[in-house]
Amino acid sequence: MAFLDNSGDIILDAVLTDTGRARLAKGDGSFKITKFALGDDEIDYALYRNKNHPDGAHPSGSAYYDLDILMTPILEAFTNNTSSMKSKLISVPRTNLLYLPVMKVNEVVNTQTAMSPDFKAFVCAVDRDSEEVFGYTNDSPSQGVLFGENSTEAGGYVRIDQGLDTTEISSRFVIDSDLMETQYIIEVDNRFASIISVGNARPATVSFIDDDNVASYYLSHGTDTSFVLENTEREPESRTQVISGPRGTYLEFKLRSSLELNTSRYLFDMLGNDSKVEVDGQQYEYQFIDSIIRVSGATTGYSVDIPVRFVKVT
Amino acid sequence: MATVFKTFLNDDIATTRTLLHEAIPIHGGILAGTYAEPVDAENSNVKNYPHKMFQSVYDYPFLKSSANHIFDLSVGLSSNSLLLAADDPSAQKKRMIYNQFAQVLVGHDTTGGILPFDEDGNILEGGDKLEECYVVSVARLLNKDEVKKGSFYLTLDVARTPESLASSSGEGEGEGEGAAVSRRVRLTISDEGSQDDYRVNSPAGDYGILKCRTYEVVPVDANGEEGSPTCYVNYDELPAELDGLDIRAGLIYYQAGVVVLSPYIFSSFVSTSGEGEGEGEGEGEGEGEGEGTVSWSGINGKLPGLYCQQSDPVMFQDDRGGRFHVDDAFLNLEIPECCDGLRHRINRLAFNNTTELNSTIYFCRVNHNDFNYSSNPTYLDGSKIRVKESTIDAPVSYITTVGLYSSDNELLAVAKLSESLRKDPTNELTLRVRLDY
Repeated sequence: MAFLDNSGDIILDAVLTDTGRARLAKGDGSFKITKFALGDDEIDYALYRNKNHPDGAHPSGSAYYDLDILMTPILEAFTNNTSSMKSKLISVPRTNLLYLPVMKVNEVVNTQTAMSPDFKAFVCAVDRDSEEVFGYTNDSPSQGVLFGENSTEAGGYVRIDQGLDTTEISSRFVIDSDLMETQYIIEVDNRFASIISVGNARPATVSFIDDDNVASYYLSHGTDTSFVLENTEREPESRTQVISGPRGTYLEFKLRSSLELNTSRYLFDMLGNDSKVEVDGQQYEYQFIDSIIRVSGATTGYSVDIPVRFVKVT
Repeated sequence: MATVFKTFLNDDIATTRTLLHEAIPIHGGILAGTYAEPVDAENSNVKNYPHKMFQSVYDYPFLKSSANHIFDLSVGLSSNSLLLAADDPSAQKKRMIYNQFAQVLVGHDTTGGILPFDEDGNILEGGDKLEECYVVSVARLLNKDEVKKGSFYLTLDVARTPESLASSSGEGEGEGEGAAVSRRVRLTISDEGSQDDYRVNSPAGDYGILKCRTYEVVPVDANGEEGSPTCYVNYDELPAELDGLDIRAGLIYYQAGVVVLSPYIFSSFVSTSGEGEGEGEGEGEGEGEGEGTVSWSGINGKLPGLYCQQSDPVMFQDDRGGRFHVDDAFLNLEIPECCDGLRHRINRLAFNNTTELNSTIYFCRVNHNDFNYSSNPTYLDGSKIRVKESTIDAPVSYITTVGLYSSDNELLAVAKLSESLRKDPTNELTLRVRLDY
């Protein structure tokens, strides 16, 4: 008589995150666990040795494809809520999917959406003086500069496109509804900037700000029409698109610099660095803070980190 | 519709309560001997205070940051105590200590008067009171939520007898070169059986009766090495003629972590009636056994008869070289000096503490069609799934983390697996995630 296999029943000890502890301490009922998600942050799927692997399939057969993945040591839990669950597992009822949607920064839709070629990041000029220095080169708008104060009039913006980035399926096909992202989450350091729309500079509503000052914005297709739009461009040869296959939605937004960055150097002194830039033959000294804005799909789980440099001339 | 969250149903969340016990053994050497005495405050693990109301004992010199508080010692005298002398400079402090603990642990009568400690816990019927007591307050660090009932053991060297006076009554036949130069009279007190026999009429929670359990005479050679006991008596197996002897030694308040100890366990012994059996052993390499007569004694009928041999009744010594019986000490010495006497006599203190863990278990049920894909950036090559070669291949993902979320998608708790767990459409999992409070 063999033993029963109980490997399907596992007990794990959980630790509270800092946000969990903060909510528990509040005692206002905001600590209520209602759902779960599964993560695989440590896994490098490039180690999967099937035919897609550069070295070919594992010579010992399919049972050995995931040998290296299963040997991956697992880290202890982070208690910082923003450090865990970076990549989540996705539930899709269908098992015959060969492609999953991705999100990409679209730098080609027009000159306003490109990143700064100098910094390989978006540059957010936090006040009017900085906008004048960084925003124009030879009286032409500079590439990749977001106007943090005067954002309604000029400056670039960020656009994220979503869809199946493959040439195997024509972009003329409409993306399957269960693969179309309908809600985006933007996480930005609330000390530095907030999110506004591109056309009318309408501020987005913050869902919550966590203990690390990370503000989360939930923007939905059909509700936040200034931010999330359906990508109707179907032309495969289009030069304004970064998604090669069927396209879903896209998100576009601008940044408005925070009052603290706009009026004070405190955060620049504490978190930033000093540098110099030459514009139209003139040298300027400035301070900068490098940060990241994370955009995630609430339904597809995919996320992309956008580098942003906040600059202020001295 | 692709999703990354799965909502818990009512059946997926369960709450449990677990009692966790830790064994806390405290060797007497930590309490006296390993570190300096309190006069050398730099190197002592015993802290005396200018107010002289109690004494704190640590596991390491208390000025070091790594020192942990073990317990506080103090002495209490009730207003009715015969040892409450008017000319005792610390009498008022001893009375304050007694009243403080008594009103917290025993409570008040209907007139608001503070009730004294009752030896058997039967307060309503009166009976013997602990008018004098040592108080041992165990630090919360060790006590946790409560002392586990029936787990408390305190071994005290209640007397030391010079060899000339303390020869075993057993007639050993052993041949040995060494000879005991003194004998330690060792008494073990415990609350054995209290898990089924404890009192609940205290405002501070449950409490049990401490009783003398065993008594042994241990020979000590010139090097301080202890030999095998020359006499061993189990109080639970007393001769019939000694039935009724009072072996109560104090009270233990489990939730409060306070031990109220009768000082009369240190009293000198008087040879009286009663007989028992003992074993004698030769010292050194050889051993011998013999049977002898052991008489029993009691102190005013309060305590069980201990070993009949005449012993050194001096238990305490003040810093002026004075030597005191325990009652003399309570009468004449200040609280820290009395505490020094007790501390030096503790051979071992052991108990199990209890931590009450309230847990919520979340049953994360992962069905066959759940979580088979990943948003991990390495999962895709372009948009193509790496782990699939064709559409008919089953998707595969690997679980390393379980995140528990609020309704507004805030990550409130995280659990990690010890190794990655394969998930594909052919298997289902239930991950039980426990969150302790």
